[in-house]
Amino acid sequence: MARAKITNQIRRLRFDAGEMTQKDLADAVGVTRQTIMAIENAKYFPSLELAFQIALHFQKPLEQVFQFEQNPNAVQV
Amino acid sequence: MSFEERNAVSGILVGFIAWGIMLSVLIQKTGDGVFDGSGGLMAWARAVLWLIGIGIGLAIAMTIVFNIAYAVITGDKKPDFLRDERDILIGLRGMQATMMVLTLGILGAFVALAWGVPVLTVLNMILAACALSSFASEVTKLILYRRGV
Repeated sequence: MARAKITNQIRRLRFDAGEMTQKDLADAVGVTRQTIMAIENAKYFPSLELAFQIALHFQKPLEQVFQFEQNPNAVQV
Repeated sequence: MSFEERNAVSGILVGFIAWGIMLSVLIQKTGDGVFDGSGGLMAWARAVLWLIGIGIGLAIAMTIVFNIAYAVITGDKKPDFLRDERDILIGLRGMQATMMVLTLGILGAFVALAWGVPVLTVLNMILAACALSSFASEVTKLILYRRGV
């Protein structure tokens, strides 16, 4: 079964927030800059807690920061 | 490179050096017949304990040197020592690799013992499994840091 796709708008939100750096966001939510970079490049999917923290930092609802695209081949239970 | 990623890189280097020294000393002593006779196993255990102590000291020293060298080369005056949820997840995957390799190694050692391989060789096999499992852990972590979790 192919993996569902999770995308995010963190890069754009950082840009909209006065070109905030990855380091600034990382410090604000208590992770390393490398973790923010990995999330932006879809190499790491954050925990629900971290996802909420990032959304809270940008004062956006979670679904405006992270999007879930279900794999059409996935089996529905 | 995050602190834990740096540790994975230094862990591979330290592992090569520390385990390399340890195994070469043991092979040399075995060749010299130091572990022969009735007190051979005791001599082996004492040698291994000493070498583990030296290995731990060497690992600590090399990790410090590696982190200092990294800070100097990258010009990072305030290197990050933070360990976040991604580091914890990757650390757990590394531990899984350790457990798998170690389990296979110990199982292999038991099979070797059952097939009549000398006890000292079996003990060296277990030690080699420890070295391999440590190496597997660091390599797994480095791959996950680079490729993604």
